[in-house]
Amino acid sequence: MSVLSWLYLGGVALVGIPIFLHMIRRTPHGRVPFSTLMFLQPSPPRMTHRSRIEHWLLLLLRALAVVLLALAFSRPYWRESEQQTLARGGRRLALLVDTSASLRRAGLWDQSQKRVASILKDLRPDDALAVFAFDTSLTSLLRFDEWEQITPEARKPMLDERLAKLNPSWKGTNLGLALSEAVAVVSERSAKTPAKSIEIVVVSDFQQGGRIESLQQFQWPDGIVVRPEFLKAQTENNAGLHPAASDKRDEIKARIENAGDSTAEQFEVAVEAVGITTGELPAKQAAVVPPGQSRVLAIGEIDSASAWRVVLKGDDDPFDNAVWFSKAAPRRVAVAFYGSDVADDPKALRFFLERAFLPTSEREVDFLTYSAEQPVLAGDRPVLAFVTGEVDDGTLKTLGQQLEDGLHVVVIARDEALTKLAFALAGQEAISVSEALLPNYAMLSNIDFEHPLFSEFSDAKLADFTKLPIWKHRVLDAKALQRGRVLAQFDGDAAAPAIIELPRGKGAVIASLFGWHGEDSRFVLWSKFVPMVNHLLTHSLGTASSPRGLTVGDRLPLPSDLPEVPVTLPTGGLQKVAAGQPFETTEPGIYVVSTPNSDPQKWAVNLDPLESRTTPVSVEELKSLGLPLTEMAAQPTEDEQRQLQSRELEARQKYWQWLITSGIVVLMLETWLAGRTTRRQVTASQG
Amino acid sequence: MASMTHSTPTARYIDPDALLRIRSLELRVKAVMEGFVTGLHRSPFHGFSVEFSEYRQFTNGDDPRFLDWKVVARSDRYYIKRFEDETNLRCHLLVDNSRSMSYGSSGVSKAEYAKTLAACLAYSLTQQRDAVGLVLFDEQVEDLLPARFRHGQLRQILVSLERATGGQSTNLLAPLERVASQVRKRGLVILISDLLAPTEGLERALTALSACGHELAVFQTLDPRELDFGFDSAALFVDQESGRELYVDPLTVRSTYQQRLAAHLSELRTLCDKLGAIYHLVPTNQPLEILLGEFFTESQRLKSRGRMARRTAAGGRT
Repeated sequence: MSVLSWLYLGGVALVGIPIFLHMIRRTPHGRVPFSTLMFLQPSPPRMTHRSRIEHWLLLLLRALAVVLLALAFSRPYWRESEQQTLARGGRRLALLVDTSASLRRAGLWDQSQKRVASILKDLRPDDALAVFAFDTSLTSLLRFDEWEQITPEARKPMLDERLAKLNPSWKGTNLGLALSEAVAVVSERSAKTPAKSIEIVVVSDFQQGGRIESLQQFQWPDGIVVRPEFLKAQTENNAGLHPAASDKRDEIKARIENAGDSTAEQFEVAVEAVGITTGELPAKQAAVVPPGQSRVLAIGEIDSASAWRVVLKGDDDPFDNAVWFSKAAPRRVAVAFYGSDVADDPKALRFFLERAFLPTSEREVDFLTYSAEQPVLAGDRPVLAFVTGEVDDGTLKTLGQQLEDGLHVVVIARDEALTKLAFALAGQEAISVSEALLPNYAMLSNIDFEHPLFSEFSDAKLADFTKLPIWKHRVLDAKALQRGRVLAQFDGDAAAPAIIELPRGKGAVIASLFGWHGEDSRFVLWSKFVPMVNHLLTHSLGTASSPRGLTVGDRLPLPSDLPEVPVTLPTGGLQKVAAGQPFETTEPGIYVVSTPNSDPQKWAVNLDPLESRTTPVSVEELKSLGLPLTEMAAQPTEDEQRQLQSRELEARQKYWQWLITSGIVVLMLETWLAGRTTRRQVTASQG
Repeated sequence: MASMTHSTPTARYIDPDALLRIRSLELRVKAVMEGFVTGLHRSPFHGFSVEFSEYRQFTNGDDPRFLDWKVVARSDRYYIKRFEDETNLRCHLLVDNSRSMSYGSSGVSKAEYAKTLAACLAYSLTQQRDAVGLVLFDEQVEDLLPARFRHGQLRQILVSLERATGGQSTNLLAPLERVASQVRKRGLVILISDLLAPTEGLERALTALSACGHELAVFQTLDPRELDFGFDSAALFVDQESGRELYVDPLTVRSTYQQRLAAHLSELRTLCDKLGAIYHLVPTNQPLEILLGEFFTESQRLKSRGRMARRTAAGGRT
């Protein structure tokens, strides 16, 4: 038998207390009335000889209670059964390796590899393992079924080979997404083959910019625990440089963000030209940014032909010290409107939609209107379409094709026919709908904030959707919905879907089962209307909506009318992208898209600004987010590993509970016996 | 004239426990005294105030009843004829009724024992036609019956003795001083108490009584447990009078206790010797008959000695 806390075992020495007390004859057996005390003097407690200890049984019980309690606190466990337990094994482990840009800091990646190797070394033959890499998304390196299929001897070489290819990317971190997806994978697998314990091991620097807040509302399934393996950076300071929004169209601004645990605060910002540049480069600037704060610097005015690289000096970690700026011409995108609304009718939806898409530095919107009189032209390639009225078969077909290519169509189903049209556009069989009978009005509830339509409003301050009264809507049976996602529901017992998304090809049909204006609701007049439709447009374009431009991982906006687009990468290489194919950026820098008839477009792609927030989150913060954490092992040595195993073993065996129970039983016995003895003595002394 | 007939004393002793189980004090007294007094005292009907003592010239204030008219007729001088004051013994029983007297380790409390002793003495003296009085006290005088010889006096004494113990302390000084001030005629004063109080006050009080010409007899009643302190286990000892508590381990304090008690008893004995008083230490397990026998014998001896001394003195004067 071993114990976890040897120190508590010292409590056994307290057994001397009852023995000592028993040896003191200071137990006045009641009160003895006496005629006078004039010849008496008080007696001090007196030690008796060992042979004169009274009540041996009481003493034994008291000593036993002390020993049992001391043993319970020292948390004993059996080593023999540890071997047996370990031999049984059968754990399920999902290993998540952080590959975000912040892992490029000095020494972190080496540390990560060593930690991963250490975790893999501790694996037992009957453990099930899956390995994932994560930055903004989760990538599977090894699945559970693959692990189980290959022989134990072949596992290590295969894992080593796959892990050797792994390198930190330039992308940001989304630990919340990675964990929730890993939980889904693990849960799915565990439903098929149960495991003794399920553990998700996360090897990461747990930076504050890791977007872990999304786990706050995540419902953790029972039986899954997360083991955070913290990586500690060797460098103390980290400051990052990122693009900042500016009021002026040509002016560029950069934000210096200094991490909270940084010690440096003196920085210098210098501008370098990328490729051919015109005009004079701005001069160097010095900036003082205290730890945990940020400061915005106006760099200068850039023209459309130039591209700049602005570098931050005075920081230990160079991975986030450069930011690129270019002046790209705004992209022209088309938004289509199908319906019979008159152009300047303020009571019609078209009036509001036409005015909702304001031009930005990245895009300018062409608002195309179609109706029965104005059919769809073959050359028109809108990225977002709104349907408010019946469409003919030809239009339906055209829209169907465009949906397959990535078009997003919003159907405002103001009646039953339009609901059927939404299903027809998605290529699905229509579900019967009926008109809701509302005594008063309905409100939106159960909003899916993970969908791009609502993701901007996920913040608790903006998540109030109860201010939109809906007087009329259609009722659709959610259970009958086969391929689709409910984005919002109406409140009430029935919880009927209010907004649904029906996927088709690369695009999707978003059907609103209530009208956005008129008798149905006043949605178009609501403050959330303009941001929602603009965000939907950005989502349809597949580019970031950030005013600071593109970040690594975003798709490059490419002209769709060319069969092949040559893209010059920041490293200098040339990549040709076929028409309609997305081009995802993988590193920061200037991407040049060459088109035969116009000037080449320079796209500046920068690092995710959150990556600069490298201060690690604490275990308490992780716990407050509801993560079911196991014991943390910062740098487990062999001893620590053994101790960890002992703790797990002790936690499983829980002998301390039996010891505490026995202690209580012994104390109860002791109380009963002591009471009986006292009663007898009192009776004897009175008799 | 007087003859003592002790017939196989041990066989006739009554166990104090058995005696005190008799509830009525009167019956208890009769049980003790029955046969005990036979021939012990001088008969009260013979020689009652017949022993001539002295002549004394009449002075103003003397009772004219005691004038010797024969001398007046013979010599025309006024003389008073004085006799031995034998049968008119005035005895006061001073019985301690304080709370400490209620202690008794074996069913017999000191108070019960003391009252039985007092009752026995009263009975005995009444039988001798002596005047008996009673002073019952704790820290003050509870009951005072002046010494008289009359019908019903013994009964009153017995009723008075039935009183329960009380009081907070044994204060002998105040009651004894009061007796000294109220009892002017010389007589016998018998003090029955545990005398568990400092001896300083006691000395003053007894000296005052002695100075008034009283003969003193002291019966110190103590429980056997008080004498040997034969407790076994440590306990919280509570003073019956003051309520004070003291944690005492008998094994450690027994010898000290016994030493202190012996010193106290020795002081009392010395004091009594100094004042010419009869002193008796009376453990409550001692049969009363033995005690009474001893007392009367000793009292008689002292009385004879006193009479002889007075005769010698009177002879010297005439």
